[in-house]
Amino acid sequence: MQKDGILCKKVTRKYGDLTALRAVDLEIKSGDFFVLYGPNGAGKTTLMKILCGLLRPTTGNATVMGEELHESEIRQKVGVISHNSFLYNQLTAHENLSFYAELYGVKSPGAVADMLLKSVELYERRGDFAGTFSRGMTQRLSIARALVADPDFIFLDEPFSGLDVHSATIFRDLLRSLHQQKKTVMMITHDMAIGLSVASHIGILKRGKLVFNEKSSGMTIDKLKKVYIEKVEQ
Amino acid sequence: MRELITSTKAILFKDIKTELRSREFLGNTFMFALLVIVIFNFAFKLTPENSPELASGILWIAFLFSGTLGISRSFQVEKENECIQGLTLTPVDRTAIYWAKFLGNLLFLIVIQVLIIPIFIVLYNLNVMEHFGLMTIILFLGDFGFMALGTLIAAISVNLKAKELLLPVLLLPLLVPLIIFAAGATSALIDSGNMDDYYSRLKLIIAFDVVFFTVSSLLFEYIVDEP
Ligand SMILES: Nc1ncnc2c1ncn2[C@@H]1O[C@H](COP(=O)(O)OP(=O)(O)OP(=O)(O)O)[C@@H](O)[C@H]1O
Ligand SMILES: [Mg+2]
Repeated sequence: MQKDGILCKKVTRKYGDLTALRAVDLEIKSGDFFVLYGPNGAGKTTLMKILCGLLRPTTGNATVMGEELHESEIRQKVGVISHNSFLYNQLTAHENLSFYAELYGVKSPGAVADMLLKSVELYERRGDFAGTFSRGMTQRLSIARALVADPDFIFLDEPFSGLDVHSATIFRDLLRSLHQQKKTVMMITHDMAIGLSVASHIGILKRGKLVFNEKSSGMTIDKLKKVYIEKVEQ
Repeated sequence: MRELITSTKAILFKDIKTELRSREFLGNTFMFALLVIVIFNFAFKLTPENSPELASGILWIAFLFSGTLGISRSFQVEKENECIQGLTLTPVDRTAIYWAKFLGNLLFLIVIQVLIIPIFIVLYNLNVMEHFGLMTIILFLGDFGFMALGTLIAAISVNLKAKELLLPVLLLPLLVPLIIFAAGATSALIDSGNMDDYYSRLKLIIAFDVVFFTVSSLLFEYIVDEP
């Protein structure tokens, strides 16, 4: 069995009586760009949190490179953008990034923070408190935060939410370059077109079950929409 | 070990920086502690005879309440934007998070004490100068045990509903032994002057500190990782 990707075996997750994931099997090979679609409440965020180590499965297990996510060597290689920004309102943009860089043991945290701030076009605002940022700026800063340790595995939960057209284009290019750098990416999105434009593999989750999981080659947006409606609304 | 210290320092400095930026919390807690000692001063009929006896108890109550506020605050700031999840995603050893929070809370309480104690001495008309060193030791060791346990309990209660209420409800009963030892040792100094009493309690406080600091350092990772 391959040991270098993300592997999820019979993962079930319950919140009290509610079953959010039902025996999900999923393999994301190293270098894949996996895009996950699904209606609200399908369990996408839950699945991602389990894969990146923020939640434990009720039964089954999830591994990255064959290791449980509670190992710190694995956490070093993982970057996450979630619904929450993980940013400190009372710290400036620059302080937030260099704080996280320091915790990841990055060599020169200040310089890395500057570089990332430039790449998400927040350099001019680096001295402002994260708490004063607009929704889209916060999202851009949390993208930078996730990339602070140059992770090999990147988990993105609706990373495009709040981004304006210009930032979305920049971010999409960034995602493509991550894919070219052979990073392994899992992204949740509701935007069919954007997802398809970056994906190497596509999955659809419905009521806690993975009902579709295929390569994206040959897939067009119309076909994808049809498949989605078919799978979700049947 | 070096990584552990570096990350502890990073988190601690981050906390100090953010706390200094919103100073009102420190100010409010100080006002609160001040109110406690002033109100007790009126509530009891203090005479030169009973003053030392009551004083050590009142002092510890003021510290207990304001310390608890500080502890609860230290995890509240991590709940904002779920930063605590961001922290646990980093490769940082969980013990570093505990140590940083512990040190931050300890520092917070010490700052409050430095501000309150002079006022307290004047208000209660106490003679502490002759035992100043021994008094400081008791205070520090008492604070240490208080924060060692309190930081752990705060991490447990921050994910619960009604956390503002649950923290004191869980923490205060567990602190009873420590308070008894600390108030006993304090009153041995300012009241009876019985040094045997003082040293026997000091030993108990040290035992409390060692046990809870060690246990909490080890247990903390099971608490911050979500179930
Ligand atoms: N902490 C929680 N406690 C209880 N139930 C939860 C919790 N988190 C999620 N759930 C439930 O689990 C199910 C899946 O939620 P999840 O957040 O994974 O959905 P999602 O696919 O990410 O939806 P969305 O597209 O709206 O983000 C939902 O029914 C939700 O109510
Ligand atoms: Mg979600």
